Order: sequence, then C-alpha cells, then structure tokens
Amino acid sequence: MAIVDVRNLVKRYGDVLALDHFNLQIEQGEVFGLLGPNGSGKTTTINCILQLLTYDKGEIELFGQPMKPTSYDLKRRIGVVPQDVAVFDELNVRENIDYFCGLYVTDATERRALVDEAIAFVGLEDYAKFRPKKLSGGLKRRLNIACGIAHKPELIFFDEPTVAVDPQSRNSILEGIQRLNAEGATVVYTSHYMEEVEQICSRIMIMDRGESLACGTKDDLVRMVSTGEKVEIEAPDLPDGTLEALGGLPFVRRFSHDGTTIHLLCDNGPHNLANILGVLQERAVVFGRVYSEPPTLNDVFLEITGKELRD
Amino acid sequence: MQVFKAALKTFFRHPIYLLIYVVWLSCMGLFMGMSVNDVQSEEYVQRPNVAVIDRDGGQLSAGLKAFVLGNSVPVEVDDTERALQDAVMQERAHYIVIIPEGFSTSFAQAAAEGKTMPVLQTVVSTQSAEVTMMDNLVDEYLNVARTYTLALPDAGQDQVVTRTDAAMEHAVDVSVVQIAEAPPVSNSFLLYLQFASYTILLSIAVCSAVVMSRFGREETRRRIGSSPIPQASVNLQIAAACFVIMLVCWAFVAGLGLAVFGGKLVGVGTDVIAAAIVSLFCYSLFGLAFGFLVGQVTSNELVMNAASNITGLIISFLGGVWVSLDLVGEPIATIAKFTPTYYYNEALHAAFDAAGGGFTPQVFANLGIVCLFALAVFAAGMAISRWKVGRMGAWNASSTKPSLQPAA
Repeated sequence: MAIVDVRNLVKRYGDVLALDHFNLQIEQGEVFGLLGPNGSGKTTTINCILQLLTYDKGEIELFGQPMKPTSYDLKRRIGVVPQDVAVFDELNVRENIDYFCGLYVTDATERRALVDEAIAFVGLEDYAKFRPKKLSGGLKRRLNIACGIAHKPELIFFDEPTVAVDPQSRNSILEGIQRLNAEGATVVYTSHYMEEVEQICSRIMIMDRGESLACGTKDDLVRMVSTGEKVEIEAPDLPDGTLEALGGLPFVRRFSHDGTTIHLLCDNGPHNLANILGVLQERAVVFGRVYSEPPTLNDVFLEITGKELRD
Repeated sequence: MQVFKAALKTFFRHPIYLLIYVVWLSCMGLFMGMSVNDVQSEEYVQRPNVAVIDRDGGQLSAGLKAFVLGNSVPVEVDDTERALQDAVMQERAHYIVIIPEGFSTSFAQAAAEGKTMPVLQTVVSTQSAEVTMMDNLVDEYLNVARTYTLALPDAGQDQVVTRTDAAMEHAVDVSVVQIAEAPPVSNSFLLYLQFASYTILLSIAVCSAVVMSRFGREETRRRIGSSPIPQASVNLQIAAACFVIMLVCWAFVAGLGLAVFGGKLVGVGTDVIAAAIVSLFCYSLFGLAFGFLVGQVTSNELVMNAASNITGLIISFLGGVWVSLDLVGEPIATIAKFTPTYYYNEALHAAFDAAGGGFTPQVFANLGIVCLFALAVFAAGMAISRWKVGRMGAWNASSTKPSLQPAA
C-alpha cells in the first residue's frame, strides 16, 4: 500500500507554476529521496502534503486516507524535520523536545519516556540542560531532528537536514535516519547531496520545475541516462595505432590521449574494462594505474536537470 | 496547553526585561511620585517686594503708600529712571507703584465730578499670584477711597484716608474644612499612575512581542502547523499567554503603587481607586496590542526594544507624562489628542476629580477611546500579519520555496 499517494498535484504562485500535475507514490518502509535543484518544488511538495499550503488541483492521500488541513489523526502519525533549525532559544534541549513532542502526545508520563528516548537517539544526553545557543551547529541539527521524531511518527519528512553540517554530524544524522527506517518508519528525504541520497535512499525521484523527471532505484536511474563509464589508464608510451584500436571497440564512444593518460568514455557494459585491457596487452603496452568510474547519481542528475547554473 | 506553557516559559526566561521594564521603571515611577508634596492644607503666604514712588505727597497718596508697604516687603528705590530700571531688571522689586504728582487732588476732583479716575503707574518685574494680588489690593484701596469721597463730600482727604484704612483692615476669616465626600487627591499616586503608562507600554509591548515573534518564525510555524493541534488553538494559546503577561505587568505596577502610596489614599473612595486601576488595565490592553503590532513587524529583539522605547517616550510626552500639556504649544496639544496616553491621563484626572471622581461618564468615555486605540493597533498588526504571509508567497513564487498558509 502506498503510504503517500499524490496525484496530479498543481500548485501555482501567481503566474509561476510550482507543481505541474505532479505524481508521487511512496511505499511503506521506504527511504524515499526527493532530489532537485533549488526551486524545483521539493519543499512545496512537502508543504502541500502536510497541508501547510493550499494547492490548486490534485489529490493527496496518506495512509490510504485523504489528507486535509483538519486531518489531525493523520498528522499525529507524521513527523517533520524542517530545513532550518526550528527550536526555541529560551528552552533547553529537553524542554524543546518535550514541547514539540507534547503537540502530539498529551500524556506527560508517556512523553517523558519518549523524550528520553529521543535524546538518547540523537546522542544529546550530555546536553539535555543546555539551551540551543550553547550548542554547536551539528548538535543543533541533532536537536532539530529529535524534536521531529520524539513522538515516534510512522512517516517522517526530512527537508535537507544536513545543510551546513560537519561530516561527523552528517554521518551521525544519516545513520540515525537509517535506524529510524529499520525501526519501521517511512522516510521522505530531500537533499542536494547526491552521495547522501545514494547512501540511504531505496528509491529516488529527480524533480525539476515542478515535474517528476525520473523515479526509481539508483540502478534504474543510471540505466536511464546515456552517460557511460569513464575509463582512465596511465600509459606514457603509446605505440602507434593503439589509440585507434581502442577507438574501434564497439562500446567506446570517445577516446583521447594527453601524453600520459588514455581517456575513454564507454557505453554501460559488464566487460568494458577487460576488453580495453585486452587490447593493450595484445600490443604490449606498458600501463600504470587504471581507473574506472561507472556513472554516478550526480551524472544522472546533471544529465536530467541540465548543467546550467541555477539561482 | 503545551503552546501556552511554552509561551510563558519563553517570557519568564527573559528576566532582564522583567527587571528593567517592570521592576526598574516602576521604581522610577515610585521615586517620581514620592517627590511630590501631597500636603495641601498648609498656610501659604508669600509677600512680594514692593516699592512705592510718591511724587504727589498728598494725604491720599501717603495713605495708599502706607497701605501698600504694610502688605508687602518694602523696598527702597530711588526715583530715577536708572534706579527704577535696575530694580526691575534685578528683580529687587517685584512690583513698583508710581503715584504721579497731583494725584490726590485730581483723584478727589474726578470722584466728586464723576469723571474718569486718574491712574497709577505700575511696573511689574515677574508676573506671579502675589503680584496680581497686590495689584488687586491697590485697586481695591482706591475704589474704597473713591466711595468715601462720594459718600462724604464735606469730609477732608484725611478723613477719607482714615476711613479707607479702617475699611481695608476688615478681613473675612477663612478656614479650611475637610468634607468627607470630597477626598484629598493623592498627587503622588496620580503621578505614579501617569508615569505607569510608560512602564506598562514598554514592559507589555516588549515581553509580548518577544513571545509572539518566537512563535511567528516561519520554520516554527511550519513545525507547529504540521502537528495535530488546530492553528486556531495555537493562536488562542499564544494570545492567552500574552494576556497573562499583560496581567502580570499590570498587577505588579498597580500593586506596587497601592502598596507604597496606600497610606496616602486613606479617605479616598474605593471607587476612585478602582477607576484608576481599571484605567491602567485599559491602557495595558493598548500595550498588548502594540506588542502584537511590533511582534508582526520584526523578530529582531533590538528593533523591538528600540521601537517600543521610542514610541513609549513619544506618546508619553504627548500624553503629558513628562511635561504638563498646559506648558506646551497648541499644535503639540492638538497632536496629543491622537495618542491613547492623553485619554488615559484624562481618565485618571476624571477619576480623581475632587468634585466627584470614581467611575464617572467622563472616565468611561476616555477609557473607551483608549480601548479603541488598542483595537485599531491590533487591527494594524493583523493587517501586517496577513500582508507578510502574502508577501512571502510572492517571494516564494520566484524561488518556489513556499510560505505557510494563513492561520486558519
């Protein structure tokens, strides 16, 4: 069953079309990555799903039920971790988590246990009495996450939670998200960072200008694009005809030699490197380091959304 | 109640604001109130310095001179132009009477023939109540002398002077009687309450604006908006918390004033005191509305403080807290009528009116205007809130980062 089901969603800001008949289905237990450049409509999508924004057209269902601004029973099952740290500077770590958890859980005893668990989950036990101003950027991010997950939601929206975070904290956050998913939560994750999405997401959607451009697993996406495998081989002394022989291989699309290294761009294939090395051995070419890079999500993203700079 | 509790915690986590705006400013009000003398039944006699230049030398002029100097502090001044100017400029003489030559004769003739009476030359250095009183006494002496001249046509001027002196010695005994229904007005408490308008505006506006701005941050609104708490309930809880903040500030300011000046209010009707405290409450509503407005305009605490302080100073001045409106020009007095502080002060004075204070129609009318000011400022805050939501939507149209929808 799709836990999130968005059909033909249209959202306009005046003359600007932010979402253009957008469709999205997320299954229970997934970590779903929503990728897109700035202004692609990621946050608009999430806000429409959460009913924080009105929309012009379309249907949104969560947990198999229509989502409306007054669907408080559905909202109770959702957690949100916004992009910017949204906590109260006047309250300490425990009070902040308790406050946001209290919006969902009214029983104080139950809440106390949940707050303790959330503090332990993000590793803020030593900072429970600290106010946010005394926390580092990474610790603030962890507090931000704790505030969104303390009530143990079944569906959690993470909106770029690792922006401006050091590598250690980022790693900790990503591990935490995977643990939440392992405990049964469905996660919707938006980010600019391809490696993060590659690392934790089971399915990925690339969207731009309010439209879904591609959706699937990472392998599905890689297969969709023409960007092929890049191969680089150190070979300073290249006998005559070798480069042409490499270029004659059926899967090689482009080839060049800069005096020290051979650069090849190949179609995706299972035995590309073996065939290339076979040609070099036939011609007794002495070569050094060999580097092969299959297409990455970054290649996919750039090919689909274009390489021009965005605002 | 989660939002309500968090809002109050936010308020109480700003002890500096409480200390400066509520406690310290209230203490300043106390000091100002204590500096005023409440005792009004003391005898207050002050005689002006008076010089009499008698160029006539007649019996009437001699009698007048003796009378004037007997009711003042006599000052010797030479009858030269320079000496007269110096006496006035140096304020050695507050009042100088110059009796011209031939005054006694022309006075008697004019009185007998019903012609225009000759006038004295008088010079006043400083206009004051004492000098005015002396001027009236001189006029009164001459009127009595004129009456005797008419009534006793055969009498000589010496007899007229004797009878006039005797008549002028008669005085009516006056005593101050305290009437139970007309309580003494405590100027100390009144001044404290006037100054409290500044205290109340600043304390409530800054504290409530800080709380509102915390909940007004976009990401916080987003987080709260996605929770299962209805937005109306969230708004209501924040409003309730701000109302409690207002009550705390009002109760502290009013309670402190009553505790310190309570002794001076013995004999003052409870309705008068209640009317004054209710006036302060109505003005507190304006402070709350102003805090709401400031909270919508900015979330920068420095700007909040600056805006509240500057506005507080200006409308307190225009309301007559710092300088009596009797001493300012007509244009400023007219502008003052466009501030709530003016009507708050009018309500206070009406409540303390010795001729019948308490909850008079005048008090209600002025407090009604204060409440209307509060309503107008609140409406302006609401308009700005709506405009901001619209503006964020427009901005997001270019970046497609969405804004939040208006509170339901």
